Amino acid sequence: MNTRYDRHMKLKGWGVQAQEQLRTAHAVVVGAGGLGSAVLPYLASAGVGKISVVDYDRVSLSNLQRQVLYAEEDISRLKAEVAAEKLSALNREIELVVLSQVFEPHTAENIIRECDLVIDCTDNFRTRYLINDACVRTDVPFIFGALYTYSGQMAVCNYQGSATYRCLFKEPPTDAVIPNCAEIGVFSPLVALIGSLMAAEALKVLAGLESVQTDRLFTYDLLTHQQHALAFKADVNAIARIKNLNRIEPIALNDCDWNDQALYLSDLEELKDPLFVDVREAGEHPLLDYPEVVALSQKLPNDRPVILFCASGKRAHHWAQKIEHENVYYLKEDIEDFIHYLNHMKHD
Amino acid sequence: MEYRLNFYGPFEELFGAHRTIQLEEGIHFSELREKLEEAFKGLDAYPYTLAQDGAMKSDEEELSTSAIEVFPPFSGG
Repeated sequence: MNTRYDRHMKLKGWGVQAQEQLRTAHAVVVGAGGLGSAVLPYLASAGVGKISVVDYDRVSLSNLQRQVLYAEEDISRLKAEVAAEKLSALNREIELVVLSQVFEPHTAENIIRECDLVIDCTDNFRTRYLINDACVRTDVPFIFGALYTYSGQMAVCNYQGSATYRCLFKEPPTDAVIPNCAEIGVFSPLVALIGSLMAAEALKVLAGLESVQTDRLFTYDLLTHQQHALAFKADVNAIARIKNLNRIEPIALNDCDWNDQALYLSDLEELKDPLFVDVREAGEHPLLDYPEVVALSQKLPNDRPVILFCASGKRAHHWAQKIEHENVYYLKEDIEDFIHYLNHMKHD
Repeated sequence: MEYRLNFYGPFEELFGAHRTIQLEEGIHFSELREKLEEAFKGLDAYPYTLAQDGAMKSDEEELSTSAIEVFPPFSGG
């Protein structure tokens, strides 16, 4: 073995066996945004033999404040591809798998089935609960990290029979009540802190160390430096319910009475010939010039699904309730993500 | 008796970081949930988990006299 891993090898409790276990390990990282940017370099540099990076998104200017894996010249490129290039430059001894796709119910179990660990670096509840369910059903451990402005949460789940995310929060909330980073912002060093905690636990799991911290939720507030390590127990009923499902179910968010009109980018593939309607103010930036995008003032055809969008989804939701159309939905996504989706469609 | 409540994340903005609530001693966490949702309007729209003495508590457990921690899930990443 070369000197690359010397400083790990010298650690008490590490050694040749742990390093060899890392070399043969496969980690799947879902989300190559803020947390992904913090976690991935530590996995690659430590010598995790195979890393799959799952992310459909492209790099945008507003990502660079905290997603330190990317640079200005990477803007508009697929995150998973850029991440793999950067990690490969860091360590050419490891294998990187690029999965520029949405992590979805029908593919989730296949993506993770053969891996040793899933690392949840996502930014939405739909994917977070999907990762939980897919990992429980395939007996794969996972580590989740999540952020709210200056505060973060982290836990190791489903490891050797330990508790899962649904043992903490049984059912997903509505995205409307718990806003994400695009809506309320996030303190950039928090991403590094929670990402480092996740990377530490990931390396311990993959190297087979005995000190993996299961059945505890770690929280940290970077405004006050208040922290918690809260014990929680496995809910055997919640785990059994997911294990006993015939197939993995799409995660329904509890979006009250208007959930059936809400769409995510991952839902769009199922719609035939959708028409996107911009409900923002006239002249509001960014301006979108795509053939499938029209203004609200235009007459809407009845034979196509109509998807309203705005900057965050809130105005689109409002208009979706007012417009009389048989097939009207609204996009519950940030406009930057929608633009990436449109660009992606253009390239395809 | 008067219990101290510590709210986190979005709850801190909605209800304040620290509040108090009058409760009978020895009630269960299921009852505590009802009391909290009566006292803090809008709390029932969220999933949340309750902790005391450094551990998450299930509905059938009894309250101790320590401060009660109220944690929502976070979504950002």
